[in-house]
Amino acid sequence: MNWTKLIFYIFLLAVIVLGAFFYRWVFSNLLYAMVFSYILDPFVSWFERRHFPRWLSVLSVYAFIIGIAAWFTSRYIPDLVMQGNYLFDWFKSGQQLNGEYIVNLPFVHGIYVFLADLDAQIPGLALAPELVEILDNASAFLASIPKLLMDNYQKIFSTMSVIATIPLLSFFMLKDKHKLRKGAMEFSTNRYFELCVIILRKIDSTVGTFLRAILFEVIAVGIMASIAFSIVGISNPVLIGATAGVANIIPYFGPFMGGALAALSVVIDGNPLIMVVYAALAMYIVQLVDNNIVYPLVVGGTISMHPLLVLLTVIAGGWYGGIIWMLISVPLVYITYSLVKVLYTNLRDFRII
Amino acid sequence: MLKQIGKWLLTLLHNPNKYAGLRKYSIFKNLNSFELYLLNNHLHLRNYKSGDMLFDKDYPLEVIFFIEKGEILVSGKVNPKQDIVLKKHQFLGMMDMFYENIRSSSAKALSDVKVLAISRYDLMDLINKNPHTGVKILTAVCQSFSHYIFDLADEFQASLASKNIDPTPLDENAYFKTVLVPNSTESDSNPKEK
Repeated sequence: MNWTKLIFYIFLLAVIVLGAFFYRWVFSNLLYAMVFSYILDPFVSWFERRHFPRWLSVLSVYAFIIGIAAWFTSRYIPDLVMQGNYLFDWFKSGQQLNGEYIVNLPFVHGIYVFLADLDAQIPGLALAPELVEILDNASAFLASIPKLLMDNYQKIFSTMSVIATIPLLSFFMLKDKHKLRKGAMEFSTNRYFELCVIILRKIDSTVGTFLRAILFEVIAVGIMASIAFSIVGISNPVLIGATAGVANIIPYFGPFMGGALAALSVVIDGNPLIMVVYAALAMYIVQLVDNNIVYPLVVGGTISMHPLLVLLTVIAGGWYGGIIWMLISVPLVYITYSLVKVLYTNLRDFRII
Repeated sequence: MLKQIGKWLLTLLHNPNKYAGLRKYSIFKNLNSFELYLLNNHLHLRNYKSGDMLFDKDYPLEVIFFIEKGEILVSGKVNPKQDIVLKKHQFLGMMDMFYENIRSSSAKALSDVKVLAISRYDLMDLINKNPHTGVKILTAVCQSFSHYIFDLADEFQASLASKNIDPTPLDENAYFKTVLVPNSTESDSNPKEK
């Protein structure tokens, strides 16, 4: 036993553990910055191939994104703010938005009348007052949302500051991409060098392509759904379309969420119920275009995961970390599965296992 | 005048002599400083001790090696003598890269070796995304392969002469039957089948 070596490895392990403990708060920031870098990397490389130094390429891409964001802000944010304010006011009106008020909305009133008839025929059932009580509780919860936002403004502010640091971290990741890669490869031993190169390449192609495809799809579905909902005449089409675009990350079930939100909007507004069918039809057409043109074009195939596995993954994600994890769990599982598959295949090819 | 200023500004952005050493490899001899900079982004410097294996026969082919220092023994079917020693500024893996995805030979360091390694996919990506650079690299690769084929032909002539076989008229299988693989069968001795 070489004691010097052993002591060095123990020392190294201690340094790694201490480092991980010290930097544990910024791991999530690093992860977000990596995702951001993966999405932007092809654009940075495009500038680099046109004789821009790497740092200038990154700044050029940032300037381009800021330009797009500024245009989007001036063009669409007023609409989004207006639609957001409408919902905010609706939430705030929780005081008058009680169960008695909701049961008078056209669609809900039909259900209330049906239940009241049942109560009249079956003595002691009392389903109609139960419905009013449930709606009372639901509206009280909705009314508390703005208060929750106000109470948690510090957390929201810290989240915003985390978001602000991501472009800065990404700048260095993008600028020094090749140096970081070379540095990482230096840790591999000669025996595993070629395997590490393969894994790194696969991570690049799988993660990079997948993330860029998802982003492109979110934008495409968001725009298409907004247009489709405004054609059909749903109120707040931009907001609901944007939400439908984000929800679309979850395969199979995401599109239903967009449609359900549009249907809810129809019910709340008291529009004719046939509008729900129009909204569903609009969402179906958007999905048709997405599944047959957008997704095959940007990814070259769909996620080859069984619907049951997708459902279980979404439920598990929801239990683990709420809505955010519901959105990211399927891509995360798919990427992990792809990488494990590549690792297993190559470990066998290199006769390591 | 403006062109000169532009060129001067480019030299500020990319030092023209920083990667000039890469031009010593025959396939990169025609690349300009910017193209060498792009190439260098994908190169990994590796050190091997004498006796270390760089790769084994039948392993997946991912990386092409460019020798910066030392000698490497390559054993495999690409060379008629079976074993060949490669030295500074030579490269290995290129011939397999254009043939199949697994190594047809093994490589072992004969002395302490320093090599530059590049993923074949990174190299092809560089070629595809920079067609002008790609043409330069592929032209140089073709030249390198031509030299190799003519060297083989010279060896072939010399081998026939040493065995007192009349090289004209040329029997296309003679070399493979008599010099390269004397015990091979008819079916696997025809080079065109490869």
